[in-house]
Amino acid sequence: MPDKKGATMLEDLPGEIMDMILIRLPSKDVGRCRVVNTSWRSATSTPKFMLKHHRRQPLVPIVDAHGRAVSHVVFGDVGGGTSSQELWPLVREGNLSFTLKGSCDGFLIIYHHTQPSFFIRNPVTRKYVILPQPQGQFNFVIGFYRHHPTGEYRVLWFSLSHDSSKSSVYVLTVGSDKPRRIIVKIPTVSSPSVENRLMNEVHFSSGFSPPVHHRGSLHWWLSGSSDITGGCADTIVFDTEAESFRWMRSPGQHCPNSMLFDMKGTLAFWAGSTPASFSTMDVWVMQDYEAQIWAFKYRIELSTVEASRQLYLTSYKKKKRTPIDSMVQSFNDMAVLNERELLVRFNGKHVLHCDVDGKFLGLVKIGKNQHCMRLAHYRLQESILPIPSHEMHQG
Amino acid sequence: MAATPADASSSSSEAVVGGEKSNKMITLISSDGESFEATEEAAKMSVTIKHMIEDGCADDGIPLPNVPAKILSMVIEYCNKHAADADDTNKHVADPADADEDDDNNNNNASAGEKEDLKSFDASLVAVDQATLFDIILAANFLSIKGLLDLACQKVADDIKDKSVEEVREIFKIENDFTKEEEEAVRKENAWAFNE
Repeated sequence: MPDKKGATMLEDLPGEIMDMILIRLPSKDVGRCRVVNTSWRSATSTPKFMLKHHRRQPLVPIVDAHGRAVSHVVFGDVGGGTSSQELWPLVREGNLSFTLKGSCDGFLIIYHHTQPSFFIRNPVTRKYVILPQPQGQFNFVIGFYRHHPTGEYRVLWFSLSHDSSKSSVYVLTVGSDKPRRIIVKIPTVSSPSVENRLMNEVHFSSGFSPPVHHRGSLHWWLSGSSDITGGCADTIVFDTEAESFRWMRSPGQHCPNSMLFDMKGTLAFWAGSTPASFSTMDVWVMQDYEAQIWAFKYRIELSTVEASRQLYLTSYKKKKRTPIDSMVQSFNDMAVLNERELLVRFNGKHVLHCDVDGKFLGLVKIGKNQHCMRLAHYRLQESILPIPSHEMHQG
Repeated sequence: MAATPADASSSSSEAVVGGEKSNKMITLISSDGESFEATEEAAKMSVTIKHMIEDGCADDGIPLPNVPAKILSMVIEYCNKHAADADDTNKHVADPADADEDDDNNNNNASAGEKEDLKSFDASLVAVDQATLFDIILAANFLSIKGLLDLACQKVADDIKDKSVEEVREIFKIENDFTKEEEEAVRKENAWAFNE
């Protein structure tokens, strides 16, 4: 209600409306608003506000750029359009070398080679906590997910004995000190050695791309499992509530150059259309999860991506020291940005941005660097939420 | 500022799926006693007014003691423009042949030109001085017009974005009620928000 005595001021707006305004700000601006006055500070610091803010952020794929130092950047696309791309470093370049091992909502799992240890980090607030590991000799993260019934963030560990003969699986709830061992029982598999091999396949699959969290279960597509399963089911599924494993089928293209991924809440799968093909990619989506029916969605063909001409123009204009490949020769990998846009890695070193009709939209660059780009297959949805823990560090 | 009443003869030839299109005009009365007319369709963009119409309280005109004339006319302008757009969408969806599985967006059936037109209309509507913008927000909140409330709140957010703490305080005349030590502590806690 405007004050009859004077013009309406910002402080005249009720609290719920201030919340509606502040929640529309990007993460950094929210952080700065906390310093404006005490009421803005409390409004932006409630768990409810931070969660709502997080849920409004876009889910963006992470691109890994090996320049002189390892740096990971996030490819952000201004919502709903094909307009501009924004890349910014997730972790500051430093003397430490690290690898991204997992991502979930606004958190990343980072492995520091020199320490050596695993950390969970929020790249926006730069806070991190050490991740407790199981007691086995070699530990690997094979899953990082939010357990829906409790809202807890959990890490799935794969632990190998030093002679690689025995393996075990643990679940760690982020914020607790001790990982909890779970019994692995895979249907149709009776011998422990086969089970061991299968879990190694799961571990290998996680190294290429993380499992897809869908309907409360983690899904790993196994490229090398046909001899174990009899060639039928090739996807292992871990139910995060029952903590049990089961089998599923992918569209069954049997092409080594393939990947299971999430497309706006649906299970999806991309694969080269023939085993030897690196010039086309077929994308399938899960139509009926219960019946395991897949539907073909679209095909991207190299010949329709007008990359060659654009690449030539770029290198001609800028006179790069290292010439950019003027011909797209092979597809290696892809990540979906939204219904219409994709990131495609080609020729083993560049990543381009195109739409599903094959129209070239740009080359992914960090500064002037467009080489050695890799799709990390992790995605980030920014948040300013604290990491569940009693010991959070800043850095 | 008042919406022109639709001609009774011309509008009845349109077929709209689901819900009747009424030509009835609704009278809205501002806090300072001015009367404005709007089509029922446009007026119903306000959920508050929609309920009053459905409860039969609108026959003698709806008094809006919280909304001054200057703001009410802008609100009606918004409703007229956006009600027409929503109506266009409904007309298109009426033909199943036009249905496309990818059309999950309300505005999808509008042409690119129409979308641009709406966007620039919205932008100029909220390109007003601060006090007026806040009054629009209060009116949109009171009248429950989600689209207008979202639009106006986004404008304020855009005005805050990328500004320094001092600039925000100055532009919005906000008093800093932190003690020096408190402010330093909050700055330190949120240091991630400051450097580049």
